[in-house]
Amino acid sequence: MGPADRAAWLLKAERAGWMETLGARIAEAEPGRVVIELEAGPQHRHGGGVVQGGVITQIADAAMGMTLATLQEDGSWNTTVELKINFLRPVVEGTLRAVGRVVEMRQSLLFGEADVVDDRGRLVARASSTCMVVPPGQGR
Amino acid sequence: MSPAAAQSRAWEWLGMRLVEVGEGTATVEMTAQEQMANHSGFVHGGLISTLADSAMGRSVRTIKPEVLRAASFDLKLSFIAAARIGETLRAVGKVVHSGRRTCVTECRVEGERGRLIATASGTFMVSREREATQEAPGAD
Repeated sequence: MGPADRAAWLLKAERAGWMETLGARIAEAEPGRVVIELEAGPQHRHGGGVVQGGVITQIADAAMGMTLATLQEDGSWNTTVELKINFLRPVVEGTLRAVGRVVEMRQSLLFGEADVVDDRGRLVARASSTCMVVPPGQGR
Repeated sequence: MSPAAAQSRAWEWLGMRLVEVGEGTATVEMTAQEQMANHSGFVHGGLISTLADSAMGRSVRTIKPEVLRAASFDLKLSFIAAARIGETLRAVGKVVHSGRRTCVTECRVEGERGRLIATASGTFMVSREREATQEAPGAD
């Protein structure tokens, strides 16, 4: 499966369990760029009245992992081994978009970044992650 | 701000030099010396971290209203390729988000011929022109 095929596969794949639970979806997918969208509402807020950081982290993580996966041509997938995020702006509601990009792809480790933006395009969070290559047939 | 004014004792000791500043960006170079080697004979990660921290700290001090002091309270690196002794490392720090009290920055560290050595992100506590009454440790 080439990069374009995998991006297309992501777009038509059945929504994963966690996405169902969170209400997230794959909005865009192309080689080297995947966008995860989430309609943020009361179900995503913590006691302080704003969207909980783990929710934002979850879509950022997925955007990074899937972005890297679009360029794994040998049928391998990846799993996150390390992740870091800065929360820059609180969110109460509206569409959140996590946009992934590739920093570097090595033999066994892949490095990605993601920007999470609100419905006015303002930067809500910035994340980076390291993902480990999972060979074909293992884990998926 | 002249490049000479950037020098601190640590910068001098490690041979770090400010080569370029822009609005929200700063480029700092360091040539890896023999005594910077780790057990494998490559440049020790702590020194690459120092270089990245310095470039990001300097980038924060280029924004307006003028930042008098910047102290990092969060620093994260992804080491992507090994750097060789003798190689000149170039760190470009960039301000991603500039708040009233904190700034979020990112950095790319490149070796010779633009080879990507590391990416970094850092969060800085800043004191601005008007409210610079409290003593905070400098980041340089």
